Amino acid sequence: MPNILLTQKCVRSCPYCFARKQMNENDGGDTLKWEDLVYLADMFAQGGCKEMRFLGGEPTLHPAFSDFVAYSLQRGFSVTVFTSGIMSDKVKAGLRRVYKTFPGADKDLSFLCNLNDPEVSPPEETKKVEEFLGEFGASVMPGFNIYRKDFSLDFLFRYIENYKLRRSIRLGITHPIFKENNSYISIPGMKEVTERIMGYVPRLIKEDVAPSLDCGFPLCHFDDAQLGLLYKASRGTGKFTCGSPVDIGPDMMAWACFPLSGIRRRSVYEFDSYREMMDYYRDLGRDIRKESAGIYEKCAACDWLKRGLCGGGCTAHILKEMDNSNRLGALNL
Amino acid sequence: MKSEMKYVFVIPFKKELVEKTRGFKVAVRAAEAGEIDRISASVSPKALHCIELVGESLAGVEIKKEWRKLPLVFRLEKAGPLLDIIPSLPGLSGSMARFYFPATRENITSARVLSSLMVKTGLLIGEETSEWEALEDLLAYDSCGKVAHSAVEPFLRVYTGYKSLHDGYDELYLDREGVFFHCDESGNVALSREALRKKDCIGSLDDLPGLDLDGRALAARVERRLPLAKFEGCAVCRAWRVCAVRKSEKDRPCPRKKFMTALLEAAEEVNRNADDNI
Repeated sequence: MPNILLTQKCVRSCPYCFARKQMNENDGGDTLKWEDLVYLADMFAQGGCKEMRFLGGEPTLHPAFSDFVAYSLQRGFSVTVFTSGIMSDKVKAGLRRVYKTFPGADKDLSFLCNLNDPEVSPPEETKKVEEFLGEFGASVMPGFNIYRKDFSLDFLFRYIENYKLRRSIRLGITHPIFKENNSYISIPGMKEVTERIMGYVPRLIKEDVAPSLDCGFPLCHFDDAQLGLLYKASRGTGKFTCGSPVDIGPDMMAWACFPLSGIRRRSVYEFDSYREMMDYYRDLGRDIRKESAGIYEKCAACDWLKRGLCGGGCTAHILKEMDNSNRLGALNL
Repeated sequence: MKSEMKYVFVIPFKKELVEKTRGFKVAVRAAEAGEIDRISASVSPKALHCIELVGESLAGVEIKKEWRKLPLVFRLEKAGPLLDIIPSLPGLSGSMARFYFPATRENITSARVLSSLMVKTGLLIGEETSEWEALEDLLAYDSCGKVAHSAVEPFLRVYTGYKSLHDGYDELYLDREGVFFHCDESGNVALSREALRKKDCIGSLDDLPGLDLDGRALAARVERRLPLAKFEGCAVCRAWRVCAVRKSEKDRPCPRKKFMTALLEAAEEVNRNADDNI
């Protein structure tokens, strides 16, 4: 499923930021044009894609954000907005109008709100986030990006209860961005992270909050008992494969996903169809994995990887390792 | 066709003007939407070329169910924010109403957005237009778009009338001299919208024979085709058939030429595909 970056601008400066390379290489002035949104809506509709996923930077900073959401809903797409929750009163007023204009919008419009722990966030930022959650909480799925091994999810449980958020938490693990220095969880550190997540699973089950693990968690980091618990906690939806996402920038350049934003970028206009674009970036992932099956040497012989139940960890780690060992030449990036 | 039906009087909505133009086609300028019902009751569908309304923005324009089959033409300054328009979309897209905007950069974008939402739009492309590149981009979307959308005027007029088109598309704007005669509230008649604005009138509806409509039509046609008589400017431009501007630019490159040629080629392509049943 492609993600559309409405703008490069952001209101936060998270140390793990996936988009950092992309944003560093742009001046932040670009915003997606109406003409390009119509083009993408046509392309997606023709390709059978029913969802618009708006990202940034902070997508709500786009001057026509509410109109873009309304347009997409009117075209019959469901809309997911990846936001920090930090937005102006004007944007919130626009969203109120969207809900008023589309009475069924609570079903078709949702927010994936990447929340930072209030303990380590500026109070002004937390205040704005909580205002947003207070008003639109019923449409919000909380998300948390793990970039330190000593993370806490306690504040998310509190937010879910206080603001009646959707009873699910998207947990992302931070990955290295190719040719960039960001904070991320190293491969040896991942095991510690999974143990800490598992420590929360009884509470997740007890409070009926489903964890949704984002891509990059290797299956072998969990034992069978843990997988069983995760299966129950996530209501049977857990996956350990790479979703082959595609990101589309405001300048209509496409790339595989943020950690790989520096390689094989092509203009959306170069593709004849939605399918051709998706296949191109799926094949990029396959090309990389032909050289190195996963983040561990043992991945090459792994039965679960062959059976398609595990993706062998995030491609970004594989690329980093190949770069460190001067093996990138084989990929013709 | 009876000769009277070749000519269209563009009149403000006044009962006596409707009476005086009986037997001719009329385009009636409504001062407000409230007049639409009264116009459609006063003028026979056969004689009604269109009902024209002038306004600021599309936001707030409501098309009532009983107006859906009326040939309504709105001339608006701009579309306005989409969120203001969406509540009215079912009426707008489900009717014959067409919404014309000046061909500014912002309105060219709005035409594309509205077209993708199945609203019938049009752009006023004339001598004052300068956004040729954006228009060419919109033309590409309109003629090559793979997803259903409502065709934008004047592109649609050029595609559909391509085979018999020799004088451009300006009849869409009620602005072809010798075909459209513009009247004021007192029944004074001018050859164009602009001439009426300048009170440059040729006579009155009270003396219809004195207006010499056939003579005026012939003179206007000669005037329009005069630039084609010299081997320069419009005469050597292959897009002359579709261009409605017709101002020979012999001393400088014509700013319209690239766009008008693209429009001609798009029409050729659309017609070729239709002939081949593609």
